[in-house]
Amino acid sequence: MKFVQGDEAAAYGAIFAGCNFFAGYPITPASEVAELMSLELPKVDGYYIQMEDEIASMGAVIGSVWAGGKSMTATSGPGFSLMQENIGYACMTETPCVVVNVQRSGPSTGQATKGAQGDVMQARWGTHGDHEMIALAPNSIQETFDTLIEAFNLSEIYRNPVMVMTDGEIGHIREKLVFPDPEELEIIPRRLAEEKIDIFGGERIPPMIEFGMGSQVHVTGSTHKSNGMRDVSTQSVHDELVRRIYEKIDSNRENIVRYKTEFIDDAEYLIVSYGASSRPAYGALENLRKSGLKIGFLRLITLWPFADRIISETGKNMKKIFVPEMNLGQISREIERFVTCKVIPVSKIGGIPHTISEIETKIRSNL
Amino acid sequence: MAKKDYQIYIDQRLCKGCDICVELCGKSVFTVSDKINQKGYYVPVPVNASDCSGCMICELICPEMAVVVVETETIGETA
Amino acid sequence: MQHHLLKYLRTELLPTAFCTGCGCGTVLNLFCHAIDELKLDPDDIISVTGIGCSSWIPSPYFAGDTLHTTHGRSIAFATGVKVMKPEKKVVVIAGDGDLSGIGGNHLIHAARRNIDITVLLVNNYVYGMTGGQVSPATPYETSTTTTPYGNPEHPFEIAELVAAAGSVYSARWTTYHIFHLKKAIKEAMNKKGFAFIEIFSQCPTSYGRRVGLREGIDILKEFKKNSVNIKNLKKFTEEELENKIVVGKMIERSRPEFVESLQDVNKKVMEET
Repeated sequence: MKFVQGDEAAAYGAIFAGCNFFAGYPITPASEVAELMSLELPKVDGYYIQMEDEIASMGAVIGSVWAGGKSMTATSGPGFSLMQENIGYACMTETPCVVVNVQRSGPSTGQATKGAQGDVMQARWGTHGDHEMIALAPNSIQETFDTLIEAFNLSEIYRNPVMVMTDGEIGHIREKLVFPDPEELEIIPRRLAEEKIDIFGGERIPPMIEFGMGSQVHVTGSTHKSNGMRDVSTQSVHDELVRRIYEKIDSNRENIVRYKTEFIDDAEYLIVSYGASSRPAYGALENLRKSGLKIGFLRLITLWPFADRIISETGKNMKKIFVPEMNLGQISREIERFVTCKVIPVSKIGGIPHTISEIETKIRSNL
Repeated sequence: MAKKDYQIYIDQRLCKGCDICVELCGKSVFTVSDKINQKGYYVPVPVNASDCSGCMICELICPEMAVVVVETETIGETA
Repeated sequence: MQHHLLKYLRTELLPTAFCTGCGCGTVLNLFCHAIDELKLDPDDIISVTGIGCSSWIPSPYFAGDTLHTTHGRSIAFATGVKVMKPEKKVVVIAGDGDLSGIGGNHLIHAARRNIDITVLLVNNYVYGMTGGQVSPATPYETSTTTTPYGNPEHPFEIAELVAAAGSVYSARWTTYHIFHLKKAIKEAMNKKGFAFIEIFSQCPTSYGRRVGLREGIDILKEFKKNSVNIKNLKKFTEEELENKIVVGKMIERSRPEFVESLQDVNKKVMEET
C-alpha cells in the first residue's frame, strides 16, 4: 500500500499492466506521470523517452507499438490538442495504445494548474473523420490505477487507442493505493497472427503482426485494403474500413461501458456525474436522500462509448436529471439525446471543484 | 585485352520514356524511339549496345528500374 | 529480362506512381543497389515515411515492413520503432517539406539525440504532391504556385543544419551524382547513430515546369552544372559559390548512440534493484 497522487497511480497502473514504453512531454498537471514512468520503466527493462513535443510523443508511441511495445503517453489539454492528428492515425491503423489526459482548465493555456473536465468532447471528436473512441474517467486514486490496467486491456481487445480522462483534481490529490497481487491481475495480451495474413480486415477485430517478423507489414493512415495497401479511390474500400473501425467498438458497447448506480430503484430524480465532480455530487446525493428526496446516482466510468442504454432506461422514470461537471455541459447535452425529461447541467468552471452545498443548492432550487 | 560486351535490356512494362538514359549515356548507346508502346510512352532503344562501356549510369539513374546492363559472358549464368 | 533488384520491391504495384523523369525513382533504384551491395536482408529493414511524393519511395514500393505516418512525423514514429526494435535498420525517406518544414523540429531533435536511424531527405525544392507550393528548401526569388512573384524567403541548408544539430553523418548529393549517392547511402546505413543524406532530386512536374526546366533531364543537367564538391570549396570565391549546390560529406564523427544509452541505463538500474 502507498499514499500517492492520481498521476502516480496512473503510472503504477501502467507498469502493472505491462507497459514498457512511454513517450511524453512535460505539462502541468500531468508531469508526475512522466516523472514516475522515467523512474519505474528502467526497472522493468522498459523505455521512457522525452520527446520534443506532444505530436512527437504520440508518434513515438504508435511507432513503438508496431515494433512490439505496450505503450502510453500522458498529457493535458494543450498537449492533448497536439496529439489529435496522431490519435486519429492510431484509430485508422488500429494501433492499441493508451493516452492519459489529466484535464486542466481550457481553452488554450487556460488555468494550467487547475483541474477541469473540458476535454470530454475532444476525447470523442478531437481527431477528424468518423471514428469511435474509448474513454474512461476514474474518480479516485485506486480507480485511476485500476483504470489504467483496464485501458490497456481494452486497447488490446479492440485494437484502438484508449483515453484515460482524469483531471487536475484526481491527478494531484493523494489517497491510499493498494497494489494488487500481480498474479491475480487479468492482463489481456496482444492478439498476434501466427502467419502472414491480412491484419486490416477479414474479421471485425483482426489480429496484429508486428514489425520484424518478415511479413512485410504495410501500415498507413491512408484508406487501405485489408492487406494494408493503400486504396484511396474505391468508395467501398473506405466505407468498409471506416465502418468496421466504428462498429468494432459501437457493437461492443455493452462489453465496454461501465458505470455505477445507487438508489435508482425508487428515484424520481437522478444525478449523473463522473471523475472529480462525482465526488461532491455524491455528497450532495447523501444530503438530499437524508432530507427525503427520492434521488438516485449514476456515475459514468466509461465516457465513450456513451452509456446510452442505462441512461435511457433509468431516464424514463425520472422527472429531472442533474449533471454536475466541470465544464459548460458537455455530458449533459449528450444525455439529452437519450431521455425525454429535463436535463439540468450543474456546471462549474474556473479551477475550483464543486462544493457539496453548491450542487445541493442547485438541485433544490430546480426541483 | 579483350573488350567486354554488354547487353542492355529495357523493361517495356516499367519505362516511362523520360529519356534520361538517352541523354546521359556517354557512348550514345540509346536512341529515342519513334514507336509508342502500349502504355503511351516512347521507350528508348539501345541501338548501339556494342559501344556500351558498362559504366552502369543508365541502370543506376533510371527512375523506373527499367534499364538493366548485363555483361555478355555472364548472361548464361544469370538468365 | 527484368532488373534483378526488383526482388526488393512490391512488383505488383509497378510501374511507380511517379511522374515521368521524377528523381524519386532514382533514389529508390540507388537504395535497392545499396541494400544489395551491403547484403542486407530486407526483412531487417523497417521503412518509415511521411506524406508527399518522396514518402512513396519505400511506401508502398520497398518490400519490407513499412510505416507510412502522418505529415512530418516520420522521424518521431521511427524513434519509437527503433527503441523497441534496435536490432533492425530503421530508414526514413521523405521530402524537404515533410522533414524540414512541418517536421523540422523532429529532424533536429533526432539528430541531437543521435538515435540510430538513417534519413534520406529528398529535396525537390517544393511541395510536389500538392502542386508545387513554396517549401523551406525553395531557392530565393524562385517562382512557385504560392510565390508567383518570387520566393521572398531563403532556403534552409538542411545537410549543414542537421550536422550542426548533432548528427554523426551528414551528406548532400543529387540524383545526378549516382555513384557518390549510392556510396553515401551505404555509409549512412552502416553508420551507428543518426545518419542523414540530403538528396537534391528533380521534380519536372511541379517545380521544373515553372522554372523552364520541363524534363527531368533538364534539372539533372542543372545539378551537374551547379554542383561544387565540398572538397573544392576553396577554389571558388564567395560570389562564385552563390546559387551553387555544395555536395559531399558535411560531417562524419562518433557520439554515443541514444538507444544504447537507454539500454545502458536499464542494465544499471536492473542490476541495482
